[in-house]
Amino acid sequence: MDIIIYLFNAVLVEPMTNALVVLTRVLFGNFALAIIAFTIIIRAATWPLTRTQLKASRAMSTLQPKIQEIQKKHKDPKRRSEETMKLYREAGVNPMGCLFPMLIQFPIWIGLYQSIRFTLGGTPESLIDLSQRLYPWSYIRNAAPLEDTFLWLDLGQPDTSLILPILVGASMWVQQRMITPQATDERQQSMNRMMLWMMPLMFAWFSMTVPSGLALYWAATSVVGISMQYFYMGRKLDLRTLFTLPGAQPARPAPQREQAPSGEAEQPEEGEELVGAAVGGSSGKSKRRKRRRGRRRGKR
Amino acid sequence: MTRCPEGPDVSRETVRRWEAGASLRGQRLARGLRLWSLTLLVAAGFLLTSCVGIASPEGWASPVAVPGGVLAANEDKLLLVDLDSGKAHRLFPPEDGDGEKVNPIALYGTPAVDDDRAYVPAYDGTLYAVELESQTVAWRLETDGPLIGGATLSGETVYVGSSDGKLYAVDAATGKLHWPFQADDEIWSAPAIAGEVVYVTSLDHRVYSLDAATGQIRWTFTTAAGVGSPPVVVGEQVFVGSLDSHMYALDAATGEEVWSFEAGNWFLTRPLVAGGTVYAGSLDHKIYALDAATGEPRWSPFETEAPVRASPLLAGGVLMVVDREGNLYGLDPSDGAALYGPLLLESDVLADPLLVGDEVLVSTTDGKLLRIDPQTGRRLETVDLRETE
Repeated sequence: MDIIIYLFNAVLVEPMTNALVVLTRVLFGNFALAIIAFTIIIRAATWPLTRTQLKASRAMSTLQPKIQEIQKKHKDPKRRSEETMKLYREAGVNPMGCLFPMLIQFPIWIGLYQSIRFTLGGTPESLIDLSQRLYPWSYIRNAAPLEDTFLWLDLGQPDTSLILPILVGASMWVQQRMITPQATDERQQSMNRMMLWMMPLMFAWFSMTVPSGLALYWAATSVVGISMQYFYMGRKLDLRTLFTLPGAQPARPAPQREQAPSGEAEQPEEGEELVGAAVGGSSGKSKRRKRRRGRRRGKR
Repeated sequence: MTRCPEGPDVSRETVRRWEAGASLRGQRLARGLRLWSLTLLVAAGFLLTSCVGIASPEGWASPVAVPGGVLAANEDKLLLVDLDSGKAHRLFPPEDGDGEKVNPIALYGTPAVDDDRAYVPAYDGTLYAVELESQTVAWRLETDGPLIGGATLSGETVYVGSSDGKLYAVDAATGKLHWPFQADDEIWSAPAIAGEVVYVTSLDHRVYSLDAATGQIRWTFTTAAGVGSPPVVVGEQVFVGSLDSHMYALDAATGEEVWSFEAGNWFLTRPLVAGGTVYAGSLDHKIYALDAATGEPRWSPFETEAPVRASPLLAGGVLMVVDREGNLYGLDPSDGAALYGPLLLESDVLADPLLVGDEVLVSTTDGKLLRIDPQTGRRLETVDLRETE
């Protein structure tokens, strides 16, 4: 166990801690800016994992109309599952594909949390802890103790104004909302709904108890995540549809005229599918846009 | 992906059935994994808040001798210890009474004392003047930041630095403010007084020399990093350790650097100057002995098990050192040879030890005051500061 902790510290926590201190010096001694810059760097470094996650999520969403079709067509659960799995296989989709990248990012997050904790300290004793984790380079060593105030925030203390916790909760909700696919059954729907609300509420609550530097990291990482998803998934995000609850449209098959043309489901246009799926296929505007595009294509 | 069982007698129907079952299992597994990851996230969150939550300040105020005993701190309480009986009773904060509620949070700065009062700097940002006899607060001075450095009494004036960046000069009798001096960053150390001059350090990288009567700057000396340890004035020199890992000797009159010595990590301790030698512990797990005139090492640094925050102490010809993890060492001050140690005390030690008579008092972070024979390192008695009368 000791060796694991040692390796975790040596490979993740200490490099991150020192990187944060270097960024603080580069960014005019502003630790909050360093956290934001560090978040962007970490998100960029883990982009391949995030992309895999988004890709899997998008692929799952793309298949939703076909899955609905299968559910409508087959009453036998075994047969239904068999067809669903076949569909996944043909589309090259692993239903668990979005989980692994998320799990592998956990150690990185925990390492970053530890780094921020060590760097911010909050008590005189923590300065001694920090001294044992900095590399013996004067550029880094001479930076401490770091300035721990930013705007109204004392980065080593929780934000009692509740502004940051609300920001964390809201940004996390939007990010979660963007990647929540439309569910095909009730159980999945309720789980998605739980995920959508539970995580933002949980992190908003955590933000009231941990140093606001950490909460700033959560808010920054969510905002960066939203931007990444927006640009990766496409720029046709409809804010009105974003705030439509998932699963508002039950899994039962929609009337024929409300369904997207099957050709479009097979050859989705990048950026359209996820948002369309995430809003439960209930966005009239989205459908109209697709229909208009279909007509234009037809004219050509 | 599902994999088919292999074998020559496996029919197409068997494969189809197996696949149907496998796909069901796969979907259940996927659902289970999602639930599992959510549970993991919740667990990680709770773990995070418990591990990453706000660290509470514990304090490192050193014991100080007063008429009738010793004042020793335990977290946010200051206790008067009778060394004859080994009993401790609470001096500060006062027990609930009619007066204004006092919550010092923690005690880092060593109090200054005179015959009647203790001037207690508290982490709540207030300097309290506490009557030793009646255990009441005579006056208080509120500042805008935690008080981490100790208070220093000179004549009728108490000097204390605050994390609000100000050094306050206060009338000891009334608590009336004579003057404040504003530095550019927090002050974490006790000021040193020599004649009509106050020397104080700040995290703004500077050592200040101020006129004790007016607070006007006489000179400043800038180091490469914040300075968190207190200055020590001996003769014509000021000795101070910095977070740039250097020990400096400065000319007390002009502030010019006489010499500097680089260690492997920060100095966050008060140096001990005795017999023309500067003894100082560093956070690099070493004790240094430097020639006070030249800064040349007297002997090879003595290695400790942990970083050293507590100041070294000379007692009966033995240089006593305690590191952060509570390892006690007795060294020969002439050559740094170990006379005894490491002897493990019960808990971490961050407070400076105190010499009283022929014994040394060491305050541990878990609320014990240890009476130690400096010649052998043997523990004579343990006073539990958590058990007060």
